[in-house]
Amino acid sequence: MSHKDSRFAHKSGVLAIAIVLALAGLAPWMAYGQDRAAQSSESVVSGTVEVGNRWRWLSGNEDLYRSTVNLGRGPKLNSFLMNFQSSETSKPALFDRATFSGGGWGGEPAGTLRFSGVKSDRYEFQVNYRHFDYFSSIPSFANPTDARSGNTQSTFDVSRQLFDARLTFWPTRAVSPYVGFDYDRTNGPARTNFVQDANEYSVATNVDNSTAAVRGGIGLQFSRWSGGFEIGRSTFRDDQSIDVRGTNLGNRATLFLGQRLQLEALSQAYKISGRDIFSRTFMMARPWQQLTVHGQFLYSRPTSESIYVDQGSGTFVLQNTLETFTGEQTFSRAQARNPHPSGSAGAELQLGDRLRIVETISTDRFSVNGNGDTNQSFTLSSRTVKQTYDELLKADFTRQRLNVTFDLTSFSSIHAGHTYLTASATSPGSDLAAPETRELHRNSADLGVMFRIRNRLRLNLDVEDERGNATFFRTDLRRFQRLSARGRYQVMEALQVGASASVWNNKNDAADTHFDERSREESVDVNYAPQSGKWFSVFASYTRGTFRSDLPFIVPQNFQTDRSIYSDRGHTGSLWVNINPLPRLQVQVGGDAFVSTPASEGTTQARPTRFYNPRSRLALNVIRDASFVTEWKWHEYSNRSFARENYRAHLLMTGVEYRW
Amino acid sequence: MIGIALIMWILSLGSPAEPGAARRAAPQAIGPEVCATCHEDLTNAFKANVHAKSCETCHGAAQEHAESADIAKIRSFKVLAPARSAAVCLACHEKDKTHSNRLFDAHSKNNVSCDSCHSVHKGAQRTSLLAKPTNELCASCHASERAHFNRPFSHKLAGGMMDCVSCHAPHGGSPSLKIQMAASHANNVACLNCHGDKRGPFAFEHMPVKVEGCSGCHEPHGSANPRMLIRSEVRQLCLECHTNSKTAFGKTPPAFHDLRSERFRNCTTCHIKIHGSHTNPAFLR
Repeated sequence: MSHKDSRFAHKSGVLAIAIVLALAGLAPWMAYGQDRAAQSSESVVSGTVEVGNRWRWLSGNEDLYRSTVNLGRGPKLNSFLMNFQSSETSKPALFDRATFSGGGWGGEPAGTLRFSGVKSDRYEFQVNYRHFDYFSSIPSFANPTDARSGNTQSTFDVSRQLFDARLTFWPTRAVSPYVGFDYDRTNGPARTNFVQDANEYSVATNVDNSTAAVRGGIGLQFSRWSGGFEIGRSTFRDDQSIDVRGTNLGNRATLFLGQRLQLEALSQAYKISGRDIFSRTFMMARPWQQLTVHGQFLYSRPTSESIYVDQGSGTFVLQNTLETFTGEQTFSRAQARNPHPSGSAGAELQLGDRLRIVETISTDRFSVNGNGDTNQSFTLSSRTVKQTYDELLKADFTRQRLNVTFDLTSFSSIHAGHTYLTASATSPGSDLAAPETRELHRNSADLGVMFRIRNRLRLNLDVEDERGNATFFRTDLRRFQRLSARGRYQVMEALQVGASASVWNNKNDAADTHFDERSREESVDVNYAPQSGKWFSVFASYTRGTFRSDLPFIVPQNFQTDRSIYSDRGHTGSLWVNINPLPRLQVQVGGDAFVSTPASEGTTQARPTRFYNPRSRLALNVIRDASFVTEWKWHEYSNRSFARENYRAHLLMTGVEYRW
Repeated sequence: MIGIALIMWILSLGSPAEPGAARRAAPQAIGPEVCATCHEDLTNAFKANVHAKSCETCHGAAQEHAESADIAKIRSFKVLAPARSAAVCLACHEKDKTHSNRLFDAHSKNNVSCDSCHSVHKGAQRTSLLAKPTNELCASCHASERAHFNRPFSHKLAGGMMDCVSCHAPHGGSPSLKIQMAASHANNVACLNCHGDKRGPFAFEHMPVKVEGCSGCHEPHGSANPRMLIRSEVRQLCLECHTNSKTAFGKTPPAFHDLRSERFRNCTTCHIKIHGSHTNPAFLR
């Protein structure tokens, strides 16, 4: 897997730092200019910028490090924030207040740039840009014994960019039109598999897809009702391509009918284009003081068209006829439509000061109709495979809910609710099964109490019971119970304690299923900050989660019944100590740790993992507006089942934080 | 009759939320300058606040309180029942677009009041007047979700790339989505805002993706599985549904899938287009 060019990351880091430092240098002058222009003005330009350099020492599996942490070396622009706030007397042309912020530049895996500007009572403009590098290369996730290809299957090293802009106008208090634009793109190298009968070949591919959407709408606010609508359109494209030459022995370690199956060359192209129109209309009214009514309708209608072409050569086999051949060509065209209306309506009735009744109904209906044809032909064989298909997936959900809340006292309330769900779904069928339709009805009841004594104590207790006559999938909820409690207590001004616990179980006792699933999670945290943390504060938390599921399944190769038992116990702890021993010195020490083990011994189907992340940070205020900052991090990952994926990384970063 | 009697009794109870306030004679407004004589720190901090109109807009007329300095003589949000507290905020904010799904809001159902998250006098963040930065704020109640993000494979919250509200709608999500989820393109899940290539529609849809949603197979907050799956091994997840069943969708794969071989343990090694394919009903390409 190719790694990103570190020289490029280094240059981009230096460039980002230079630009932001130049802006930071200009900022005080800008503020001074504002003051002069407005005479008695109190316009404020303020901000912070933090830059630094990171060193890294890594031992172990670098691909796993990049798949989980991926922080790089070199100069970095960690973060910056610039605020502009005009005075009441000055009249700036574009914005009364604006914020420009960002961070994570210089080859970091995630970077942002954000701008938000407001002209009071006129408009608001927001722009966000985010990028992140998404790397994954984990041998144990694919075929861990596949060492012959020299590459990990199912790997990618892609970059994802997301951009969105939105402009909202306020011509009057009652009407607020807006327009927006969103764009995202994912591209980069990856590895995928070219699958043939009896073997599959890991090949390099190129991922490149993007979505662009424009939207516009209007918000309406009047004395007794409000509402609005939005309409938008999006386009999507996905161009994947493969072009490889050279012998590839694939994933099969043994001969097939005395022959070695192999790929010699492959050209593959996937061209997908899509369009979508989407809209939303909503309305809320309060005809009387005690009654609120709500209505909403949403609709989207994405469509897609695709052309797929591949041409492969090598030694292949058709498994059902046991014919061998030396090349194959596939041409496929398809299109799909997905009309998707959803709607909801509800009413809230306030009876006196204590009783609130909310009745809602919502529906969600969609279908996906896909059709097209595929032609596959084989060299040295007269055989061709032609398929024409017309698939339909359909699902309808309707949910009705009644919820009653009663305030027992000013510090306690009780709520109870009932939900009824009716749904039907039709499967599109496949090579393995004919289309079929299933229906289900499900009832759920819940009860909860809440205590809140000033801001000192908050306590929630909830219980839920859900029962249905059927499920769509074997692992769905059928007989489900949940009990949860959550509390937070301010023991004294400086000390706060929080705790939460939940337990749930689900049983699907249908004749051929017998699915049993249980989960328990407990969490406790303590926050101690005497004198509002002026000199010293501590935060500690611990969470333990246990999950176990047990489900019989049919083993494909012998049609015997076996059990899929999955159990996992995760311990997560965090400890943070903040010390400010001197007015100019801030020290933070702590970290997070995660340990996962099978919840019951003898269970092999778990992924015993340890992930430690201790770190410390020191900030020394060297002059009035600048601090020297240094940060140390340690990341350690270990997987007991696949020790070759383990790694340890030390990261040291030093830099400067400047405020103006 | 019992129902009518119950309703009459409830209506006769009056407000439990504002002790001592209900039976007062109509008090007079005094203006923010008078409030500032005692609450100087609050009123100074309040000047740059978007709510900086008048203290009495939210706290009610304060004449009696100013004369007696008695906290019971003014609407104090510290002692107000959550529903009453929310009602004050909603008097203005009910019509905001962000509250258009309020009746489906789990926070509202559980009586989480507005001031649990928003610090109205002076928020730590410039927008939305949040009491703390978003992720920290959500984690203060949802501690176990915070813990999930410390697992090795998780959505990256650090660095401001995304936060809880990138995916969740804290004031109530559209009911057609999973509870409290934000939306993408009207009625699609927020996951598709970033993972646009999974949107489809595909000529061959993998049914649970459309019917169950992403969380049918994925643990979005964080997991020990490299693809954030809800099981540690892919085959485990797939075979739980892909077993001949008279009571649910899903069929057993053909017999050449030899689970004793490492080659067949990760189904997505071959079924690479598992979210949906335009060319192959078995999601092979």
